[in-house]
Amino acid sequence: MVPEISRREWEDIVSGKINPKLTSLSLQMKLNNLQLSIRLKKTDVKYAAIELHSFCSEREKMYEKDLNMIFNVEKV
Amino acid sequence: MKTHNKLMSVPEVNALVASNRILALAGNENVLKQISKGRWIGGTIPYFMNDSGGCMDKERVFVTDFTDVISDFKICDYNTDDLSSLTNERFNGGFSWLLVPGFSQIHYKFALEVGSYNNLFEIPVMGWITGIDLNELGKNSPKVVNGLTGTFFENSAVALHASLPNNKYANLEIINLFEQGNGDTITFNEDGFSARECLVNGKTMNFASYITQNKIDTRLPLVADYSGAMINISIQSVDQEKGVAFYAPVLKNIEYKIAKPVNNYIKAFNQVIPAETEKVIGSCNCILNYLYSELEGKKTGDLTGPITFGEIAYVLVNQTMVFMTIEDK
Repeated sequence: MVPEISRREWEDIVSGKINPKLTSLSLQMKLNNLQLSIRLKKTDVKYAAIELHSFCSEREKMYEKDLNMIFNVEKV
Repeated sequence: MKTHNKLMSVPEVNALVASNRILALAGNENVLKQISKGRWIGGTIPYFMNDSGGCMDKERVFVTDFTDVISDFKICDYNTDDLSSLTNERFNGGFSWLLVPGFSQIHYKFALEVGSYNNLFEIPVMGWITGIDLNELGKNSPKVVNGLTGTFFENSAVALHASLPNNKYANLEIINLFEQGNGDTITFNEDGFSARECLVNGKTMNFASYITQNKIDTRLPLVADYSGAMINISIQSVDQEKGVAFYAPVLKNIEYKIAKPVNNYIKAFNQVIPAETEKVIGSCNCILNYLYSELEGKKTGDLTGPITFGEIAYVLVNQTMVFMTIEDK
C-alpha cells in the first residue's frame, strides 16, 4: 500500500529535504524531473508531491523497496 | 519466459522472420540488407557483446527475440517532426525499444528534447544509437530499419512498442560504473552537444582550457546525479578554438562533475552485475566502454547485446550498460 498523500515525506522528498538512496531508475529520473521543475518554478512542492504519489501508486510493486526506505526504514 | 540474445547467421535470422517472430536486430548494414521483410526493427552496428565475449562481426546479426514475452506490438518510424509523439504511442504497462541513427539530426533532436516528452518515465523506453565500423567514420552513415517495409533510414528513428501480459511489467535499469568525483562542479549556460564555455564552481571559464590545464583524462565522462542515478556525458573532442564536443548533450540547470576513474572495468562490472539475469530481455553497452576498457574477447557476465554509439534509458546516456527485465506484478 502506497502511503497516503498526507504523509510529510512526499513533500520532503520532492523538496530535497530528505535524500533517500533510491534504487529504481525510473523513480530516480521522475524525482529528478520533479525537483528540477520546482527549481525552475514550473511547479510547486505541493503539486510535485501529488504527482510523485500518483506516479508511485501506479507502480506500487516496482517501487516497494524504495517506498519502504522512504517511509519506514532509512533516511539518509 | 526468456528472450534469446545472441549473434546468428543470416539464414538463421531469416528463418525466425519467416516464422513471424518479433525481433530487434543489430548488425552491419550489409547483413541487415539480407534480412527478409517481417516483424522486426534493426539498427546498424558491427560491435557486440556475445556469449563468448566482446567482438566485431560483419557477417552475423544480433537477435533479440521478444515473441514469447510480449502480448502485442506495433512498429513505428518517426521523423524529426513527429518524434515527440513516440511516448504517446506506447502501450500502457508495456515498453518501447527505440533505435536512433547516430550522428543524424534526429539523434541530436532526440537527445536534446526527450526530457520534455509526455509522461516519459511512466513506461520504459530502452534503445540505442546506431553506428558503424569506426574505420568507416565519415565514409558511411549509421542507419535504422523498419523491417515491416524493409526501409533503411539515416534520419528517422524506429520503435517497437510492445505490450505485456497483465501480470507482468518491464523494468529498465542501468549499470554505470562511473560516479561523480570529488572535484569541481561544472555547469553550462546552454543545452548542447558542444560547449566553449562552462561555469566551474560558478566562475565562467573556457571549458577546453579547463580540461587541458587540469590534465583531465577525457576518457572519464562528466557525471550528473539524477536523484541517485548517475548519468554520463562523454567527451568526444577538445579543441581550444571550437570548444569541447560531447557524445550526448550537456544540459543547463544540471550540475556535472568529472567521474572518478574506474581501474578495472571487468572486475568492477562483475561486482555490480545483477545476480539473476534470467529475466533480462535485452541489453546494450557503450562503444566507449568497449574501447577504453578493451572489452574485445572479454565477457560482461551473462549480459549480451550490441555495443552502441549511445544508450537510451529514457534519455540518452553514455558509457553505460542499459538492460531491461520483465518482472511479475
